[in-house]
Amino acid sequence: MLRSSAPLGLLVAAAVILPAKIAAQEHDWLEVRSARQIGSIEAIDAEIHYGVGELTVAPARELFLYEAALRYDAAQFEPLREWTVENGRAHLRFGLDEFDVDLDDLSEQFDETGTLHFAVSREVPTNLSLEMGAVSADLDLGGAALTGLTVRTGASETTIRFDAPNPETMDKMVFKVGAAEFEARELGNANFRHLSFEGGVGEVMLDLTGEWKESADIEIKMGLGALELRLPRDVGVRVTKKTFLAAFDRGGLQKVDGAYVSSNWDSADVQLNIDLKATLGAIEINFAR
Amino acid sequence: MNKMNERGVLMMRWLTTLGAAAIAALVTLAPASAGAQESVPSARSVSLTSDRAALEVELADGDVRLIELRDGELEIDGSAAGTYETGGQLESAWRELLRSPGLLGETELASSVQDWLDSAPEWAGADQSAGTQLSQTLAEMLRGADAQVADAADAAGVAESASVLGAGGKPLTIAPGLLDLEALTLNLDQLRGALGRLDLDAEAANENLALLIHDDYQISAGQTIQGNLALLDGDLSLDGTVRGDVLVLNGNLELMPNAVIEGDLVTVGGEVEHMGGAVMGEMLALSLGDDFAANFDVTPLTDELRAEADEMRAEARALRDELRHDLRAYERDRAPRGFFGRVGHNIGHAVGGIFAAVIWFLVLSAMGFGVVYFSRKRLETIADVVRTDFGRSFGVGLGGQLLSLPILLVLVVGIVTWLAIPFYLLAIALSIPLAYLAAAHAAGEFLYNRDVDALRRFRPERPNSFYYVISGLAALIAPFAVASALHLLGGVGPFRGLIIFAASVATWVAFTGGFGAIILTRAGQRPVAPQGYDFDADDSFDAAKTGGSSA
Repeated sequence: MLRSSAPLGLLVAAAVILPAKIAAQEHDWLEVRSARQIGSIEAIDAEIHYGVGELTVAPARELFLYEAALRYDAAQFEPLREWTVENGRAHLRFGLDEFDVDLDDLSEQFDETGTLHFAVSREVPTNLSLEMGAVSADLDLGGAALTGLTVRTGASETTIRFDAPNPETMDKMVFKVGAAEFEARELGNANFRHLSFEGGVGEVMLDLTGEWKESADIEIKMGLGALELRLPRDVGVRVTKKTFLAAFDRGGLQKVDGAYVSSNWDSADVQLNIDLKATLGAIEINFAR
Repeated sequence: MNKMNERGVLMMRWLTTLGAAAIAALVTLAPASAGAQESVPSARSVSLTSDRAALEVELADGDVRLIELRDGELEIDGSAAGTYETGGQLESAWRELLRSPGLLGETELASSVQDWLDSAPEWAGADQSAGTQLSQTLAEMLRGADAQVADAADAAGVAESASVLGAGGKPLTIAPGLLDLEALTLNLDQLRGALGRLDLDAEAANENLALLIHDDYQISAGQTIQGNLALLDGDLSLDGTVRGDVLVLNGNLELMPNAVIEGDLVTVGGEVEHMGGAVMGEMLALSLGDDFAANFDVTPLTDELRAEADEMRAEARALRDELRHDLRAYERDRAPRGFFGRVGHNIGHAVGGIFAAVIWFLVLSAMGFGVVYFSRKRLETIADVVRTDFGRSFGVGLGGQLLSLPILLVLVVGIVTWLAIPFYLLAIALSIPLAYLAAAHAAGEFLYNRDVDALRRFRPERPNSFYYVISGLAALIAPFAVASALHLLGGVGPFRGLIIFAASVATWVAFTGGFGAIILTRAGQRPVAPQGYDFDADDSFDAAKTGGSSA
């Protein structure tokens, strides 16, 4: 029954949302590259907007403020490329202006997807914001000079890695994840003071290993889904939780005064305070080997 | 999109000007020196304080440039251009130059600056960035832009260049002067569509265009172009300075270590090879078609990512195929038919609907037979409550439906109550058909007691529960069969929909009454008298309590 009603639902949605035409639309694939050398810019706010396709983010080459390469169907999308500078601080907006996809042309969309590659400076402090729709994203941010990171995803598969320490300090790192598979590895290298994670539906893995320089607060709100928290052994961890109908596997944490703490909590130089809220799901805590 | 069109129009103007300039060059072909500007700078003011050493220079074309060392920073025209060591070698040399007697005279400035440049060391250490930039700026002042172009043409072995008046009223040099107009036109045509897509200030680019190159060319270190540069086809080796934007159209640009582009570098349909150098503005490239990936330097996707992407595509294709299948079915269903096609279509729907109703009737009848045969007393007890106290039964049934899910959640949360969950679910599952059959029983008994004339021929003399259940099911299911039969008439869709809606509501109401009666009678174990019932006047209640039938 479910199987037969799902296509019907799509059909109804298609009939309501889409224009009547069924004919395949012409494509106009274009590639745009944009890059800037560091020059006199002291800091940059970079906003990346990307609705459909494959997104990769990596550190930029030496002396580059940013590098970007966008391959897109100009018949479907309007590119976004804005640049302003004020008092030595630059503001960049790059990507696709509109997320709406013409599902009439669904088959061709998936036969050939667009791509966006963005490279972040290793030297100039960058506040990076990524707004993604239905995107397969691979963010390799190890070594990038980040003072802030915001990732908002819709229905996407996202992997974030910090395989090298962030030379800057991030005041706040924010992940807002819709219906998605989300994996963030070696977040200890991100060098953040506060992490806010909001998850909707999906599977989430937050790996907090890495080189911790200072203590941090982590706030996690999880909806319907599975959350795996991978903790480092060399920092103190304290978890407070509020859950409703959510299974909780505390791993090796001990319950003390209503909170779950690691055995080295009192003696650790770096302490992670994790505030966990979850509804209808499963939370699993593991310590890295 | 309008914005993009406007950009396209602006770019077209630029291209048109380029074409016109090229044509003009053919007509007014002349040696480069003929159009070269005589650019002799003169010092307007010198300022020397403890923390500042500044020189203001007026160029021959009226432009004024301000060069100053202040607090360890070189500023040119108010913009930071490098750093130096305060009180170091560079500052000492610069102050010595500014103290030169007669510096404010035209000739003296040129010769003093030239001497200063000739004797300047290779700036290094803390003085390197400011020293190099200062030397470069002073060298530029001493030479005019067009003279630089002529030098560059000589250096590249180009025979001639031509000078015409550009769109902004400034000299535009075309190098080499001899050009293939057909090839140039072809290039312009090919690029016309592509250029409109880029967000460029085309008017400004047009007005400041100083050099148009359409063949292999070289701009050496120390040479400066005072304006924008356009490379149409050909290869350009740039090791000098461009005080404006560089546009590469179907050409190849080699950016050498000493190259400085003070504006943007825009590449359309060509390649840029970075050997070093500095681009102070944006490096922007636009490629069309499949040739892009070949010369595009990005971090490649990993095999793992590619595999994931392939998997996503496969899933998307499956979804697409399914969607296509349904779209085709949808289109087929909506496709116009002829008369016989419509009749056949309607008969098919009617027969299918009636057949489904009959099947449901037979299945429920079989279940009804089973219930009456094995548990007649309970069924009758429940049905009696539905019939005699329907309002209360409906209310309780409605409440029961609303509470069924919360009760389940309570059972889930209270861990010790988990054992009760299977029994709860089983009770719900059994109560659904039982409620419907009890409602059917009550409906059948109600119809029998109404003694409807049209149904008299089906009325037995001694009715029993079998009869009540069968007749009640027939009454509840018949409207669905009638609605299906209406397909035969065609064009009565709204009326048919109304019947189906009414039948569905009636089914739910009857089921809800039956469900409530099940709750009230504890699944038929406990007879319940209707509210306000006169016990003394009705023997059937006593009979029911003692195990007899009310029928």
